[in-house]
Amino acid sequence: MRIPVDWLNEYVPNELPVRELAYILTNVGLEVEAIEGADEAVVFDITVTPNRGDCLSVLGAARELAMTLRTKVRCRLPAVVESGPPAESLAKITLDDPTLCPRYSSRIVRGVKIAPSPEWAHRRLALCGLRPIDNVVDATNLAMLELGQPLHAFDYRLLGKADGADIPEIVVRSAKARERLVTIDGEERELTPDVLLIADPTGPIALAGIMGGSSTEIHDGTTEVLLESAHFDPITVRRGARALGMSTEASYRFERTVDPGGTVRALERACELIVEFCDSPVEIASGVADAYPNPYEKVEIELRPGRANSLLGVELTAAEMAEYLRLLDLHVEEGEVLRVRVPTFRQDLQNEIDLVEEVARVHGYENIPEELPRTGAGVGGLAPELVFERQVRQLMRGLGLSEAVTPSLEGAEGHNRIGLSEDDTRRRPAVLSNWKTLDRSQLRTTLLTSLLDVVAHNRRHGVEEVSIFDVGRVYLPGPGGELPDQPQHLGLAVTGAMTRGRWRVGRDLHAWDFYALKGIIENLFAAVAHSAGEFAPCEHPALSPGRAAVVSLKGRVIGHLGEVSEKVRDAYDLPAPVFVAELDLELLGECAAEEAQYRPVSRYPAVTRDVAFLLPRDVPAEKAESLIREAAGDDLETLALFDAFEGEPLPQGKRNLAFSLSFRRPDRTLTDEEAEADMERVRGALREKLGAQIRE
Amino acid sequence: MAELSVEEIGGLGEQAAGEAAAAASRQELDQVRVAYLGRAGKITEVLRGLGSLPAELRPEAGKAANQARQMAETAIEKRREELAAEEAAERAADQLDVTLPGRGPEVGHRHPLMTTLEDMLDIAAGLGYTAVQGPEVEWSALNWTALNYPPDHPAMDEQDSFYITDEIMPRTHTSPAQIRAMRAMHDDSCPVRSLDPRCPPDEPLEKCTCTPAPTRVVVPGRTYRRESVTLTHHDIFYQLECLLVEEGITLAHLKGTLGAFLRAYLGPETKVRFRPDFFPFTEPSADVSVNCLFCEAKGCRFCKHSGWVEIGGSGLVHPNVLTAGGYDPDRVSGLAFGFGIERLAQHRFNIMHIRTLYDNDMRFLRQF
Repeated sequence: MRIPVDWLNEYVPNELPVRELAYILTNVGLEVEAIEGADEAVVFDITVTPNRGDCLSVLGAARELAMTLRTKVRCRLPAVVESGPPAESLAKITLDDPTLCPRYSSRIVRGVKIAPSPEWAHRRLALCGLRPIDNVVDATNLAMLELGQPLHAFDYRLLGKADGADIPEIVVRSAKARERLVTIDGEERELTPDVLLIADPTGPIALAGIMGGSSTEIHDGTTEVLLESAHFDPITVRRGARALGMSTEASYRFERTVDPGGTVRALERACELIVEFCDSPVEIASGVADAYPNPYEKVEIELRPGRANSLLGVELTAAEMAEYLRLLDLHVEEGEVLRVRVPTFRQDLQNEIDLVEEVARVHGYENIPEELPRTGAGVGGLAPELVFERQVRQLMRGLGLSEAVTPSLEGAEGHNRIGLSEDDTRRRPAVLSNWKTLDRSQLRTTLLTSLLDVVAHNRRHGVEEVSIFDVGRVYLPGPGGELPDQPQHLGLAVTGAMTRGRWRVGRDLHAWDFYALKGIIENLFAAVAHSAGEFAPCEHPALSPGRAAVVSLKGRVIGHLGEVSEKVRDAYDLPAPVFVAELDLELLGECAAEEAQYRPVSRYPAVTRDVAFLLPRDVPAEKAESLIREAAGDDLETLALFDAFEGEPLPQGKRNLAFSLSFRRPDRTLTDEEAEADMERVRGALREKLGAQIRE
Repeated sequence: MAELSVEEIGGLGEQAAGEAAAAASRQELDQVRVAYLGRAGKITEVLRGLGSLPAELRPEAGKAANQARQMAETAIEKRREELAAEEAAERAADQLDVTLPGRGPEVGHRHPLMTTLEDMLDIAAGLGYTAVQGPEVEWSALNWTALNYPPDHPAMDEQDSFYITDEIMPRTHTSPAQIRAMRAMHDDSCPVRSLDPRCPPDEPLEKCTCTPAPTRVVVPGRTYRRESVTLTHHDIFYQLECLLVEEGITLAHLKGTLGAFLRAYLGPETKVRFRPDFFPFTEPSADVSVNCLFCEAKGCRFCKHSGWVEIGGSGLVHPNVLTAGGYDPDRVSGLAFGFGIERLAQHRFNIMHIRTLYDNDMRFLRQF
C-alpha cells in the first residue's frame, strides 16, 4: 500500500525525518518496503500483514504512528450539510443474506455536475497509484485511501425500480449461475454463485466489494448519485475475486476486513469532497439509508497482566499495560484483570493472546530482553534415523560420490523412459490434483528417474563424468485415503571416469563399471551392517539383462543395482555406459548391525595358501567362495578372490578362479601340516561338489 | 664342539666376514647373519658349547669365538651400511616425479543445502533441540487446521498450495511436524498419542489424560509450494524449524534463543532484528532479520538497500496450536522459529539462482 508522507503527517503532526518515520512504522509491523519520491512527494510503500486490514488507509497507518509516538491522531470528523428529502424515501435497500453483507450504508447526492477534480486531488491519487477519473469518483477514492472504506458511486437515475415501485431498489444477493455483468473496465463477466452481487430489480449492477458495473456508472451527464459504503464478508469477497480472477483496491481491502463501524464516516467524507469538488449547488439527501440488521457489538476481552508478563518475559504493571492499550484506542477498565473493549476497526483482536501481542508491540519488541530458557527438556541431538542418514551420506562422499539434491516432483514421462511396464505399481504415483506444469505433476515412486535426469543434465552440458548419490524420499500411495508410504531411498548413479590418476592405470580400469559400483555398496554394508550383503542376478526394467543384481542383506531385499539398458540410455540420450543403484535406506537401517564388540586378535602367525581352479563359466563365484569357506574350517581367517579369468588359453565355457586363503589360530602357531590338511579339504570339496578342476 | 679347533673357530669369523662381504642384498646379508649369529648359528653354537669344554681349553676357545663373533658382526654391519648406501644411490638415480597426480577415488562433495542444514541442526542440538522428521506428504488437517489457519485462509487456496486430495497434500511448511512432535510427548496410555491426525484441533486437549513432558525439537525437511520452476523460483524448498513447549517460556526466551542460534551460525557479530509480523500459528509473531552480510549493512541489492535480510519467522506458539498438541495453554507456553534453507545457503555460498541448487551440475557440486 502506498501512503504519501505529507498526508500521514496531517494526521500525526511531527518533525521527524522520513527515514526515521519509516523505521518507526517498520518496527511496529508496518514494513516500509520502499521510500519513493522526494521533498513534498515522498511515498511509503508499506506491506501490511493480512490480519491488519485496519491499516490499509492513511488513518490506519496514522493510528500506528501515533501509538508509537505516544500521541493521538489529529482527528477531524467530516461535516455534511443535509438539505434534501430523507434518503430512505429515495432508495430501498434489501440484504438477501446479512452474513455475506452485514451492512449497506448509502447517501444520495443530487445536483452534481461532473467535472475533473482539483489539482491537489489528482496529485494525491497519483501518489497512491490511482488514476484520476472525475470529481465524484475521485471523491470516493480519496475517502477510501484516507479511511480504508471502499465506496462506490452509482448514477442514481440509472438504477432500476421494482414493478410498481416508484423508487429504485438495491438488492445485495449472490449471483446466479451464468448471470452476466459488464464491469466498468468494459469486460463482460460470466458470474458464478461464488460472487456476491449488487443488483437492482432488473439485474446485476456491481460486483460487491470488487468492481462496479458499466450500466450504472458515473458519466458526464450524471446529476444524481447514490453512494455505496458497505461492509462485505471478507471470505465472500475473496472467493468472488478469485473466481473472476480479479483484484482491485476495493477487494484487496475487503478481503482483509474493513471496519463495519466506519461506513458512515466514509460516506460523510466522500460527500464533503463532492461538495468541495463541484461548482454546482449540491443537495445531500438527509440521513443515511443504512441497512444494518445485526450491528456489531464491541468485543470485550479480559487481559490478565500476570499472564501477559509471564508470556513476554517482562515486568509491566497493570497500569502500564492499560496505558499501552489506550494508545491503541481500546477502552480499558482497570482492575484485577483489565477489561478491554475493542473498537470495531480492530476485528483482529478477539482473544487475550491478541492483547498480549498488542502490549508487546506497544512496549516495543526491541525492549524485550534476550534470555535463554532454563529448561527441563533433555539433551539435544539427532533422531536415530537422521544419525543413520548422516552416516550413509558421509560414507558415500568418502567413497567418491558427490551429493545431489533432486526434485521429488516429476512428470509421467520418466516412467516410460525407464521402461516400467504398464502394470508396474510404480506407475501409480500420487498425482497432484492442481499441478502447475505437466512435467512436475506427480510425486516420484523411484529415484531412478531423478538420477538419470541428473546424468542427462550433465551430459547436455558437456559433463561426461558423473558420480553422484542422492538420499531422497519416494512416495508410494497406500491404501485408499491413507498417506503414502514415504521411505527414504539411496540412489547412486555413475558414468565415465572413476578415479584420479589415470596416467598409470589403463583407461578400462579407471572407468566406472558394475563391480566398482558394487564395491561401493559392499563398503556401505560393511560399514553399517558388518556384512557384505548378497547379490543375485535379476531382471529389472531399466537395467541390461545379465548386468543387473538384486541386493539383499540378512535375507531381506534392500534394492537393485546394475548397468542401465541401452534402451533407457537412448531415452535419456546417454551414449556412454551408466551404472545405477537404488536402495531402501529404511530397510538398510533396520538391518544395521549392533555396535561391534571387540574380539581379541591372535598373536600367532598366519599361514597363507592359494588355490586356483577351473569351473564352468555359469557357476557363480559366490558359490565357490561359500563352499571354500565351509570346507576350510574354523582356522580360516580371510578368504579373497585374486583372479577371475576366462578366454584363451582356457577352454571355452570355463573360467579360472583363484583365491587366497589365510589360516590362523587364536591360541597357538598353526603348523604347515595343519594348513595343508585344511587346503586338502578345500580342494576336495571343490572337486567333488562343483567338479572344479584344480590347477597346480 | 670339541671337534672344532681354535683355528677353525677363528676361521668361522673369516668365513662369515667373507660371505657377508659377498652378500648382494639385504636378504642375503640377513641369511648370513642367521647362519652364523642366529639362534642356531654356527658361531652362536660355538659360544654356547664353551661351557662344556675342558676348563684348560676354555679361555683360548672363548677368546677365539668372541673374536669370530666380533669379526662377523663388524663385517655384517659394514656390508649393511654399504648396501644401504647402494640402495640410496639407486633410489637417488630413480627419483619420483612428485608432481604427478595421485591416484585413487576422488572424494565426494557435500551439497551446499545439506551443509547449511547440517550446520544448523548441529547448532540446534547444542541448544538442546532434537532433530525429528515428519512426513512430506501430509494431512491437510495438520498442515492447516491444527496450526490455527482459519477456514478459507488465502494460503490454503489451490492457487498457492499443491493438493493430492482434499485431505492429503505435500506440506507447505515443516510445521505439521510440530503437532506430531507435541502429540508424541504424551504418555503411551494417553489417547492423544493415537488420535486420528484429522481430528478437530481442540480434541487433543479434551482427550488428554496425562501431563505431557516438554517438547523440544528441530524439524528439517522438504516443503512444497505451487510455483513454476524458474531461475529464481522453485516448487520445492527446504525449511528448518525449532519448537520448544514447556512451562514458563517467554518472548524473551525466543529472542535469546534465536540470537544465540544465529550468532552461532552467522558469527558472533551478527545483529538480529525482530519485528511484529503475522502467522496463524504463533502470537505474538515476529519476523527475523539479520544485518546483511554482503554489504555490511551499507545497503545492496541483496538486502534491497535496507541493510537487513529477512531470514525467517518466529513467535510464541498460538494457544490453539498448543491445544491441538494436547497441551493446556494455561499451563505451558512455547516458542517456535523457522528458516528457509535455500536463502541461507545462497547467501552463504554466493549462489545467485535457486535453480542452480537443484540442477546438480557436477561442475557445481565439485566446488563444495
